[in-house]
Amino acid sequence: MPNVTKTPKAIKDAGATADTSIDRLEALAAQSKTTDGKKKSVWTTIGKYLVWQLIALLVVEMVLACAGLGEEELFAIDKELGMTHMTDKSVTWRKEGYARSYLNWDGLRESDVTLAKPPGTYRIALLGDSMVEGLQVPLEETFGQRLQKDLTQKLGRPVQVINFGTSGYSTVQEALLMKRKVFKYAPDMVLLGYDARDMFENWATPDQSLANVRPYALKLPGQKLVIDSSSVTTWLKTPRAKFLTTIGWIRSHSRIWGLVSAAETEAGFHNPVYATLMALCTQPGKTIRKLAAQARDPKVWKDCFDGLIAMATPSFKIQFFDPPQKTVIKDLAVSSETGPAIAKQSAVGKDLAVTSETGPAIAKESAVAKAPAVAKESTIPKEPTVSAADAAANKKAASIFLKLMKNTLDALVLDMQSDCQKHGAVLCVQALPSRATLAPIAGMDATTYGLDYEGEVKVLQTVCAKNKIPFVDALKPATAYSKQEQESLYYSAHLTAKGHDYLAQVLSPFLVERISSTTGGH
Amino acid sequence: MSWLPVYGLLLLAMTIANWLLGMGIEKAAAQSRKQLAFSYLLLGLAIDVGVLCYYKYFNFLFENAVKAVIGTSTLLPQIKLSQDFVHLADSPFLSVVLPLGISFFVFEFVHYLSDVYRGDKSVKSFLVFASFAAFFPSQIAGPIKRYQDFVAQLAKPEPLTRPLFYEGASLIMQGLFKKVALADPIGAMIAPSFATMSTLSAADAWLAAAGFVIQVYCDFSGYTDMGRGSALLMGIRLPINFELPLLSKDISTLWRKWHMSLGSWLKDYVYITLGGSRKGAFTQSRNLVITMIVCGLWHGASWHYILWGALQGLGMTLHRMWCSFLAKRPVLDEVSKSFVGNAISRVLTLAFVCATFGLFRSPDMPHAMNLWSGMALHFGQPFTLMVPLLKSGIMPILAAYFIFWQMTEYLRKHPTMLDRFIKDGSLFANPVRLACWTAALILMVASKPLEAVPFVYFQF
Repeated sequence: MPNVTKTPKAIKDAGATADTSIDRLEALAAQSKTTDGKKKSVWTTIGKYLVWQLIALLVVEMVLACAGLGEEELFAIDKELGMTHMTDKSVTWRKEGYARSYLNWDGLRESDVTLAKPPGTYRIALLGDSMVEGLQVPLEETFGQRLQKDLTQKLGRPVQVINFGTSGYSTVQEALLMKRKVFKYAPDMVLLGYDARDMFENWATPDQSLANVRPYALKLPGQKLVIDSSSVTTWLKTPRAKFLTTIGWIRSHSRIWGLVSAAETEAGFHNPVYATLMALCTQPGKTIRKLAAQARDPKVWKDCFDGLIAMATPSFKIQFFDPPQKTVIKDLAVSSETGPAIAKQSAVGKDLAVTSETGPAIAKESAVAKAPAVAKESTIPKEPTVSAADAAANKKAASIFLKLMKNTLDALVLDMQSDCQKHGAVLCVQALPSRATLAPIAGMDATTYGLDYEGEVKVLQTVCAKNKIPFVDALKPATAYSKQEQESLYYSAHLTAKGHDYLAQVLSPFLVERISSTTGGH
Repeated sequence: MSWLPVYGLLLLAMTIANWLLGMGIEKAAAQSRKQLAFSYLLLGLAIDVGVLCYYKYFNFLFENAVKAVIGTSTLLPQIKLSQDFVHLADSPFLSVVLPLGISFFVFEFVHYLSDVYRGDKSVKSFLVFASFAAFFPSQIAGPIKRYQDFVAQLAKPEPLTRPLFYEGASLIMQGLFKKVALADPIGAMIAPSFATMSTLSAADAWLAAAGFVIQVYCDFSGYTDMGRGSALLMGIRLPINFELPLLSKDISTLWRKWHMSLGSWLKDYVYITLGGSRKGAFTQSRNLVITMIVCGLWHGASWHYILWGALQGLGMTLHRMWCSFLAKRPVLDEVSKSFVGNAISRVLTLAFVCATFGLFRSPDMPHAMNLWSGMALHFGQPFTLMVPLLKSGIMPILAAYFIFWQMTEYLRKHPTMLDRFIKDGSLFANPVRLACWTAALILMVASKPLEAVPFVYFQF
């Protein structure tokens, strides 16, 4: 008898809440079906959904593992350096070229390297950013391994090259990594690779992307060099950082996360839809309230639609094959002259910036954010259009900032040199053949604070000459190449196998000379 | 570019013409004026086929006529065959843009007029007839509907219930998965092999051709699934178009299971009209070849499509001859029906399909010859497609889909211990269904190629 009275009530309930959600509906429908008096709770049903979703995710993980897909996350959060390579992690690079790599217990690709140096071996440690890291080509094809083979043959003694290059690293991160990790391997030489915008990345504000979380370095006139990881520790308190820390295990083990991470590099936080999705993960309550407030504005809906389209459209097409939008480029060109004036974010510029981790927009933008703190006398207008007086002020601020960055680079390199001396190693510096100069991507900014990459290389060369640090310019020989040859050296931003071959050939005679001169006396 | 807004008017005009003619034929037949009914039919066919020919074949005919003139005048025997539509549309003589879905709705009109002429009832309501012609889920790439069925369903559409919604949505998801996770990455992977004129190794050539067969199957059946799914959401059931054709054991069965709505259309309106199998073996073979040439020509105005169709016809004729050969030799027949015999016939059928679909995919004859010479001659050369194959990671995804499909088929047919965990009225309970959707979505993202690939069958 109770069953008879219960069933219509359950049906009525189902009707009342029919428009809430499928889950709820299912739950109530299931409830109304139970006739033996045992009520199935809503939680059982929700639990069922969750269990099945979990099963699906596990199956997908298995399929992805078989397919070798989703190995695209490689950054571990680091309290001092911002980020480092993950350890014991397989990485497959798909965006440019195709290469599978394995990062060993210490985050190195050379998995057979031991801490102790084999007797009689000359060890070279490579430092640098993604150009040195070379994840786009198989390990044997990176310039480091090519050099190892070549130098061993030329010098008639075993030479071992260990690659410590890490995507997105600035000079200050390289200096810190050297102190922490490189000297454990007792290298005889440290070859520091300088890539475009590294000197500006030494003073860059962290943003949502882990690759852009860096410690600061600053050398004020008459002061000691300051290396400060407070930017990283501050960043670690943001919701985004907390989210990434929480899912740390998933980040290093899940291939589904690997896909998310790849999509993030592609679409980035500049895609409003993606940014919102991530915000929902990191700060659900706040984001929902914000969205509810925004939902009344029709423009938001349009942006959302555009964002979805942008996410669905293949990224390479957008970034490289669409005709560059003239107005935007002009904006950027102006902005690089006037420096801090471009607080406004231009969509195209930002997208491009994401493609090469060291892109102009990020470095510039972050520099902009911090510039006022350094150069207090400058006035920073919020509007992109500036009056003549403001432009002059901006220019002055930019030149002051540029000088500070040059001094910081100088101090950093000097610091690294003395560190190396302490550990019985020689510091050498190479200017990497950055794509920014040789085969610039349409629409990409060529200069930062009025300084192009060749200008940066000149600064670096002066710094090295002043401190008597052996310097090799790996950019220069390629400038004599034909356009076609130059382009064959690169994927969209990084070196191809041919590019690595070129770099090894340029470096080889320089290194042979350095090694013979330093070890000749022994 | 395959569509202009103004073509909406073309569809409207053709709909009106066919609607009026249909009623005209019925009226004339009712007054037993056979002659008049027949001339109405002819007029209708002339309009429909004429429009199709104009948009689809004018360039081809014109170009070949010009080439014939030039060819004979300069005595140059090398006929460079026209490429595909894109190429045709670029030709300086005349750029005709193909109206979207024209091949499909013209065939539906022809079916309508013929059936009315053969004695079926015409459609009185213009709105109903217009919905038949312009029913968007099937308008662009089929399936080619039959109006009797469609009109009956339109009168009494199934109300959208929860099971129907889930069935439709699952079909859409399945189609999307086939298209995005399987067809596109395979298409991107094999495209270079069909574009090159340099020597292909046998392994590359066969893999490229097999890849195309899988691509076109996933692409087209995926589209059909999505069309059927969207129609289901409106309470209309469209005919199925594929029934695992690639697992067929001979070419005739394959064609009964591949693009079934086109196959049955061709059977009803070309093959039977030609006389079918009634007038002896030779006529039957002839009719088969002609039907398949029409099938090839329907896909596009190009010599390689015609040759492709002819080869299918020849294949079916050969199979028929083999069957009658076997009929007289019971021992051999037994052998051919054994496990080994079945395996051999499946492999042979697939090889034939791969080779001929390689021709179908090639942009022109020289490329097709290059592919075939690779398939036949260049054994032992490096297998270069291996790298993109591994890189795309498509094989495990394909395998996963196949296993999933096999499992659902098994569960559909056999009661198992699992049923109380996964079944709930329909095939899957909703928690399981939603879990499958999650998996499908993630795998779609995982195998996304860098550039979007349009549906293969939108060009026909």
